[in-house]
Amino acid sequence: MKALVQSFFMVFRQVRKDSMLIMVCFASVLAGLFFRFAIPRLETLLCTYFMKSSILEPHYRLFDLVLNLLAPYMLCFAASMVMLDEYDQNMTRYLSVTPLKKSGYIVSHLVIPAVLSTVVSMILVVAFHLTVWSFLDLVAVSIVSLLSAFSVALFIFTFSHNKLEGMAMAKLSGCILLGLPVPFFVQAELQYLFFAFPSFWIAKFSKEGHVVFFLVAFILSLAYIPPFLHKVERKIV
Amino acid sequence: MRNRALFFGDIRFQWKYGFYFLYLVFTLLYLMILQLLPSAWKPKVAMLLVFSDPAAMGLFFMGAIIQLEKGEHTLQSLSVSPVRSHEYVLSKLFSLGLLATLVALCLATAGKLLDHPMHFILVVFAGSCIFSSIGMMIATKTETLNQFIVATIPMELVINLPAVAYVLGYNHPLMLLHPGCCIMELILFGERMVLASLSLSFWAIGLFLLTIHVVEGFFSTLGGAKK
Repeated sequence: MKALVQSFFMVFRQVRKDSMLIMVCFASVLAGLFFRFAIPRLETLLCTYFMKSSILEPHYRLFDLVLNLLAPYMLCFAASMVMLDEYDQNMTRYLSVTPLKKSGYIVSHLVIPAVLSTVVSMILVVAFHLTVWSFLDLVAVSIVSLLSAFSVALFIFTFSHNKLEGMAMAKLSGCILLGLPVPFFVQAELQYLFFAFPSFWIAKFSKEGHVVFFLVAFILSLAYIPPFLHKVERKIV
Repeated sequence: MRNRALFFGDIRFQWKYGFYFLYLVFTLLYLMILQLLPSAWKPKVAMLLVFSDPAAMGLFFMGAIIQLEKGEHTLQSLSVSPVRSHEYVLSKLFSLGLLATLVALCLATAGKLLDHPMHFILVVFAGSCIFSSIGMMIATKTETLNQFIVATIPMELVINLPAVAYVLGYNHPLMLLHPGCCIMELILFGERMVLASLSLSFWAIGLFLLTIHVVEGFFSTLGGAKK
């Protein structure tokens, strides 16, 4: 346990040293402030200009969903970059044979940051929401955000040998957000082209409220983890 | 000869690290998105996609490229070789510009933006050079990749937000002092071509010269001072 905490604080110090931690917190709060205060004003301006009753308002839920996913995604990305840095310096191999072990390494570097950032993102949604959220809905969506961000970090570390490839993979993994706007903008019959994206199902659950959509999102985001986790474990040693 | 070797070396580097594969995936993805949109939205969305991704590739990747070259001691070797700073900068700008332009051409074809292909190519290429120059300057001033990412965020906002505002209709002539707005004006609207072309050329050449100056200083810290 002591090794786990020490290892987590090592990641924490590294991310803080690069100002990445400040950036993640600052960007999330800034996005929250922007969504909460600027979007409704923008809506008023747009409605007046185009003489319509609503333009952005039907999509307010989408802004809340983006806010919910933002912090876990960014912090997991930063954590995966720290892991790549340690992999580059052959530190992962040494750390995995200390009392920390492989599982402890993954928990301290990815699981704890993902869980903490999810708590932060829930607080952000409570503080800056544009639509009404029930507690259960918020927890359900946050769990899927956590799992998605976790699998993104695993994906980045698995398929990258250095930080340059890590950046390319991070860009590719940005596609996880792609499913979010689909239920809001794409015609019903074409929406299911995005069936492989957990973000699509969670947006659909959030918009239409059927529990089945949450279950699909949960199972799908969970399904991505074991193959990546297996590869990460093999890569560490 | 040296320029050609550097240029092809950079292309090989980008190929090896999956840039071409990555942008093949992204191009297909963007084309799919464009197909799903109503026809009236396509040109503007295609332009925003071109501007925010392939053209901005240099700003996103330059930090990681320079960090990797530093880590592999490529830069230390280059700094004591006959390669000049401007050749190094040119090679990076042209190689990333080539990939950016190829991707942008695909998106522009799908977005019905390609009325004047040569004109489009020049504007996107100049835009890509501007982004890459800024990325290169930041990359030489930062120690780690995370620091680079943090430093590029304000730049991305400064470049992107006025350009988006311009597309959405806030198109005062003074906005053409901003390079992003010039790109939008030249490709989407074409009403103030002369002013926008002059402004864009000024930014591209000015930033290129500034980058050479910064890279010269950077190379001198690696063990070689060349003019």
